[in-house]
Amino acid sequence: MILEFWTWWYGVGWSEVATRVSARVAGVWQLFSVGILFRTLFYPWKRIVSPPAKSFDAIMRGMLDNAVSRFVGLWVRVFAIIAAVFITALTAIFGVLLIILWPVLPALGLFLLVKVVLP
Amino acid sequence: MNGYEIHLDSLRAKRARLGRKIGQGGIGLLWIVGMSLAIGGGYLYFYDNGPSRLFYLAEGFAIWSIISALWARYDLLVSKPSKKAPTFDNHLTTDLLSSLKAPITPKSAWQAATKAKEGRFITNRLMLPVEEIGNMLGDQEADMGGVWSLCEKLREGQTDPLINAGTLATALLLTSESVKANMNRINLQPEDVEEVHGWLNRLLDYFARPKPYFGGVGRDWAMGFTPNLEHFGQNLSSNIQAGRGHFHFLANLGVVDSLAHNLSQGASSVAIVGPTGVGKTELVNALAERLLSGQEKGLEHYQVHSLNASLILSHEQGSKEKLLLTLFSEAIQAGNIILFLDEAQLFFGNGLGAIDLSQVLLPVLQSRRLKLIAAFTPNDFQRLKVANEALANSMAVININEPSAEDTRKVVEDAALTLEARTGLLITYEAIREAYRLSAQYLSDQAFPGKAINLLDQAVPYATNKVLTDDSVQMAIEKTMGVKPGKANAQEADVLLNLENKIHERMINQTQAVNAVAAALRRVRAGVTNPNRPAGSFLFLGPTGVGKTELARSLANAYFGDSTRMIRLDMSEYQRPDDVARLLEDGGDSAQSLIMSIRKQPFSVVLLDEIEKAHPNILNLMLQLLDEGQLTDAGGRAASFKSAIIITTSNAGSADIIARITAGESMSSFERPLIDKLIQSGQFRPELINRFDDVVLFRPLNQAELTQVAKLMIGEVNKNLSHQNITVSLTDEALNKIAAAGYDPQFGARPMRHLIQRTVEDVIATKILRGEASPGSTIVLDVNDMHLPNKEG
Repeated sequence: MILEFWTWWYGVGWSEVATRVSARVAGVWQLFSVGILFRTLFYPWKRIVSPPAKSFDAIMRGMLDNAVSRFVGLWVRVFAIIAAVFITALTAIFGVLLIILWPVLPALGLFLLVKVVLP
Repeated sequence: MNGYEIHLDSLRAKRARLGRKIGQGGIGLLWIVGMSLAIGGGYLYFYDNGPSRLFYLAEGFAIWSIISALWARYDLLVSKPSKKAPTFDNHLTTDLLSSLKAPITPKSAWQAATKAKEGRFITNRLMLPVEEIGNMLGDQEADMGGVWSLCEKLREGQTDPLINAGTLATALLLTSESVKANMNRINLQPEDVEEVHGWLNRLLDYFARPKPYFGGVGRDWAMGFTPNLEHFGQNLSSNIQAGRGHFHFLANLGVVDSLAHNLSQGASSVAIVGPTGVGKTELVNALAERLLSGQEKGLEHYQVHSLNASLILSHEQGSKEKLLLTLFSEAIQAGNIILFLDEAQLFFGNGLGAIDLSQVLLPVLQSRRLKLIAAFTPNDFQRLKVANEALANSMAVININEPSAEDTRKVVEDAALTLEARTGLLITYEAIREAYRLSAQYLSDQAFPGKAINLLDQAVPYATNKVLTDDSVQMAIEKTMGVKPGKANAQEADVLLNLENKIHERMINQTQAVNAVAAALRRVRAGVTNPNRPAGSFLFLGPTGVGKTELARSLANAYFGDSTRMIRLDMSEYQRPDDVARLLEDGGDSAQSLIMSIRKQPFSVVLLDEIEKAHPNILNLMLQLLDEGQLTDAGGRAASFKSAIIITTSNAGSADIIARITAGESMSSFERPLIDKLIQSGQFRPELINRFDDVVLFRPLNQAELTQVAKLMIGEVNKNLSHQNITVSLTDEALNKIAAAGYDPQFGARPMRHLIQRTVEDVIATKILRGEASPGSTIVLDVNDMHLPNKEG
């Protein structure tokens, strides 16, 4: 049974942790819908746009309003993308650390227990 | 057992058993201990200004606790089969393998299977006595060969290739002859067990599916706000995202493909047309899920909003059109909305409280900017076509048909799980089977699967001990429709078995007719009638006043305890062609509508008096009624007569009957010639006569029988006087005189009631008012006390 544990820990267990970490990173990336945000980066915020107008003044005002709406939309999306990159990167770093530490963990546990009895 | 070796000492089996011993609780405990030690160790580090022995101890154990939890959770509990090992234990799920104990016999395998949740699913749904069945199973290891072989066959339909405890329990039930015989006694067949196994597998498949991805936080940022739609409608897509989605299994899934295809390939609006209950709303829910998960090109992450008709229709008169335009405009502006008009006829002027918004909707639909789905019943869509062809033609039409019996059962089974989650009840397979059977028999105005699901829903209050059984479903239909689908209890059975005697308490002679109707009612309650025809149908022929109507009334009184449980229509009032419409009226509360009456009281006696006087069109309807056991109202909804006893009466041939009886002939000798004569004379069509279960002749009453009728009527007078504790008694001479005076060659015994009122009741009333009758007294009346007409004098 002990041999079974070690086989799993350094075999299927290790590869499974790598799979789970990559799924978690992809999940966080998807949570922020980064693909959609890039695709709609310059779209007006919540479609708040002025209706088509005929007079020059109204057209100019409409263009300004629409530009403001697009600017707001751009900023919100850029912030969301930055947040997505930051949190995904953080998740990935922790994940990679876990993958690196995984093979060391049993030895670390044993080392700490040995340190109890040895100076 | 060739090829079916189970090695319980294999490493996988040992791992499985260790995982079972640790369990989810043990894993949770290991995590808590690990995390607590890690935090505690950290605290010690700072407290001691550096690592101490206690710190090393805490952190060392913390790491090993967490490692153990990870190993148990992701290896021991899942313990995947080894590809190298060829033994049969590699075909079993970890859970099942961990429960098996040597020696593996049908008995020990049953114990293992029913410990696991999949096995309990099978036994709970079928309401099987686990221990009793365990005792019926064999204890020979050799018997397991057939069981494992069947397990292999059963798993062929599974997505998961491993044999679970549910499959093993199913195979054990199906391979034991004694268990099968025992199940047969509780009305469970092998197909029922296989059906529940299929139900379990669909549920396991559903839980094994990966969670769909619905788009993330920024999905709707490029789409418009929809405050009015949120207020006047319901976002079906949000419900799905929140986990309140549709059922797992859907019949007519091809319709979802058609819907998505139509909406993404040009059609801006689609009419889905199908009968009530066929699942139109559920299909729109399924579409909403598919669109939300981005599977449909061109409609990725579109959301479906269902408009709330009652909220919109209750809006101030005159502003409804404006409101609807605002809602349409909001949906168009948002850019990702599909509107759903459930029961769309309410928006097009059909139905109670409906308004006609077709003039508002038509230009919007023709502009093709709004995506809309409207759900109609076939009749409502037909009406829309007649009223506004342009509007109907502006929508692509998708017809939905009632699913097959097999698909219906699957939908109802999955709907039962949703109902269980809502109510906390356990719904048995028998309840589902009964809901299917009874809704097919009694709820003919709705379609499957909706009507069976509705019936299950209505049965919830009748669940006992948190379990919804077939009894609960029978109770629901009994309370809501007045029918009695369950087994007759001892008291009711006694009434049924002695129905003739009960009827004869109110009815003199006419034994042939009494026997025929009593037998029909017994057949209904015993469930041995043809389910597609009325419970019984009779044509009573005979002179007036010989008890034809009285028999129908007596039957209702004897069985239902209430003679008002009879639907009586005088067919002489339906002599014109347009009277057919009156008979089939589907709305309001018309007492002359046969359809309305039978919907209120499906389990009743229907008496159609003087049938020969009805218009020929109504006689044509009778053919349909007697053949199919149902009539269809003006709105296209069927009304079932399958639980009703249809009694039609006619005076046709009564002169012949009187003449032949007076000449001393027996009824049986002239019954057939008389019927043939009625057919030849054109009074009855042969196809109508042949559709009745029985044509019964009523003969005129003789003097002795008339005296008995008089006695019964005096009995009724005494019943009315009982609250005053006064009894009336007639001498034999008085009774005979009343019997003779109360008989009329044209009206039979019908004048007798009026005669008793004038003679007996008037005399008693006078005596009571004069103080000549006190409580406890008996008034004896002789011929001289009554003022009988001279005829008898």
